[in-house]
Formats: sequence, structure tokens, C-alpha cells
Amino acid sequence: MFKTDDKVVQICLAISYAILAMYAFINFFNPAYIIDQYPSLESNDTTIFFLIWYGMMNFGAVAGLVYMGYKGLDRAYFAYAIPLSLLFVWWGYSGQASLEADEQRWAATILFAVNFLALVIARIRGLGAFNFDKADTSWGTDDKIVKVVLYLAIIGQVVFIIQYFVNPAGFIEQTPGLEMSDTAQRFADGLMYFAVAWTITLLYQFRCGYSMTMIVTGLVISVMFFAMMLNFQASGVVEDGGNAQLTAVVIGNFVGSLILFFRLQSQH
Amino acid sequence: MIKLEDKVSVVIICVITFMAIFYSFMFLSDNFAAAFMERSGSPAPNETTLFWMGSWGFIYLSLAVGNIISLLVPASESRTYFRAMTFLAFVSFLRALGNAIIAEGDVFLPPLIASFIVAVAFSVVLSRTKSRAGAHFGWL
Repeated sequence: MFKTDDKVVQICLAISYAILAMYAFINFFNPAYIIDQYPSLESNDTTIFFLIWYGMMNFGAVAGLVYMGYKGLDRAYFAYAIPLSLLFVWWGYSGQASLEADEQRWAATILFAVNFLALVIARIRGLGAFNFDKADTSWGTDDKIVKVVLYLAIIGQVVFIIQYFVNPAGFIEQTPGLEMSDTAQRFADGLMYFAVAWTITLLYQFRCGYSMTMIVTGLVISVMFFAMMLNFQASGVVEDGGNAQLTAVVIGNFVGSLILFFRLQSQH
Repeated sequence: MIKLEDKVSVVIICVITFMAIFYSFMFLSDNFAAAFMERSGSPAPNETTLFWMGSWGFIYLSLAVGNIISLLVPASESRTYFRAMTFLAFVSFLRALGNAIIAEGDVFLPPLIASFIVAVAFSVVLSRTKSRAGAHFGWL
């Protein structure tokens, strides 16, 4: 498993897998359970929307771990998962610390911290020193279409981060049906953390070569988002045409991920 | 990464897999499931109906995963799976057809069309991957 005999690495990644998969399944299939556990979470469509969003992102991370289980450890995955898990430790801690003592729930924060430690240990023991060996070409491929898609991906993530800092409430304001609240804004902050982690791993891949693990991770996420978006449209719950930018991004991610996967999969 | 040798079959299975994911999400979410029932002209679902629709959602999701696994191995390792899926799709189509025939008033066509497409598509996969067992018409 993971093409290593190091049991510590295997156990650490199994722990990470268990935590990510648990939150993926609960957030995606039963967000009401999370809402019941956290008195600070309002039980409304906005909270459910974000919990499902986080669940789908977790499914992507789980897919990346499964892929590495078969194909071996991948530096680019850790370049994504370690910053992201650290950001979410901060996200969980700062969120709970700001609440009244009787409303605080630390389970998720502790599990995020365990996940972060497990990933760091697996990265250091499994792949050794942090280095940034330059690939022969940018993105490690001569395929021009793949390069264009990857450049667009990194531009998209950076634009999202800039938009967040220009107007942190912008995502919620531009998405009909979402209600602004402290909790909703915190979830929107979390979306920016995902964009930061993707930017880091894309920059790493720009220098060191593309990662099939991250392409599979992105493919799983984008397929789930696209199927979910179609269901939103088909069910007629989208108000005022929805968030046009979000729709364009979901479609763009879906098409881009398919292009990357099918152009590169034969080499892996 | 994809080990299934026939490109047409890969495309077909990818499309069917996406359909399965789409339907699984539809059945797994109470809101989406209720909207689907409304579109199909059925009465609003109660809790029990939603529970069973959710169960179907998980079955669709499992079949989507099964399809993905069949892409990652040579056709020779998926023959029984392709045969089972073709039979399942054909039976589902017959049931959708029967429901359409006995329906009173307007017929909700998407499930009938979708099940027909999936049955034909899996039949094509069966032929192209040389997975058919015994005698058959040979033209599909």
C-alpha cells in the first residue's frame, strides 16, 4: 500500500483517510447530523449548502489518498493537503474559540489537528526532505492543451482569492438563496482556504511537474459539483438564475478536469 | 490508467457513470427527490418514500463505482459485470416501458428514454468487449 513498507506511513495515511472519509460521508449524506452536534450552526439551506460543499471537497481528498494507495506517495498531494489541513485547524480553533463556552464543540478541531499531524509524519517519513526539483518543462509536459488548462486553473484560484479579499461577503451576496450570517461567512472563509491550498499545489506542479494524484482529486470534485449543479437546476430550487460565476466555474472545472484526465491518463 | 481496451466502450461507460452519479444525487437529497416526484406527476413523497429513494441513490452510487472499476481493468476481468449490468439495464427498461404503457394521462418520458439508452449502451459494450455468452443476434 502506498508503495512503501513503512508501517508508520501507512497507519498515518489510514488515519487521515478515516477522518476525511468520515467527514465526507457525514457532510455530504447527512448534514443534519453535523447541525445537530453544533449549537452554533443554524439549521437552514445555507448551512446545508456549505456542508455539502465541504463534503464533496473531502471526497476529492479521499480519492487522492486512494489513488496514492495504488500508485505511491505523491509530493503534490501533500503540498495540497498539509496547508489545507493546517488552515482548517486554525479555522476550527478560531471558530470555536469565538463562541460561548457552552456552545463550543472541539471534536472537529481535534480531528483536523490529528489529520494534520498524520499527514506531516507521512510526508516526512515517506518522501524525505522538502525539495522543489525543477521539471524539464513547465508543468512537466509538452502537451500544450494540458498546459493551458493548468494555467487557467491557477488563474482561476488566484482570482477567487483576490475576490475574497476585495469583498469577503461577495460569494454569499452573489449566490441567490444563501443567507448571510457569521456562520455562513465562516464557511465562505473556508472556501478561500481551499483556493489557497489548490494554488500552492498548482504552483508546486508548475515547477516540479503535474501530478496525476491531484488530477484525479480534481476530477472527482468537479464531477460531483457538476452533477450537483445539474440537480439544482433540474429541481428548480435555483433562484434568480443562480450565481452565474459559480455556474461558469463548475462547468469550466468539469470540462478542464476531463481534458486533463483523458489526455494524461494513458501515461499512468 | 484506463485499462479497458475499447475506446467506444470507455466513452459509453463514462456517460453511463455520470448518469448514475446524477441520479444517485437526485435520490439521495430529499429536496431533489421531491422535485423529481413532482416532475414525474407522482404525489408528494412521504418519509418512507424518501427513505427508499435514498436507498436507490446509494445503489446508483455503487453502480457508478462499479463502472469506474470496470474502466480501470481489462475487459476480460469485467465480463460478468458487463453481463449483469446489461441484464439489469434491460429489465429496468422493460419495467419503465410497462409503467409507461399502463400510465393514465401524460407519460413522464425521461426515465423510459434513459433506461432505453442505458440498455442499448450496455449491449453495445457487451458486444464490443466480446463479453457476450452464447448465441445472440449479433447486430447490436
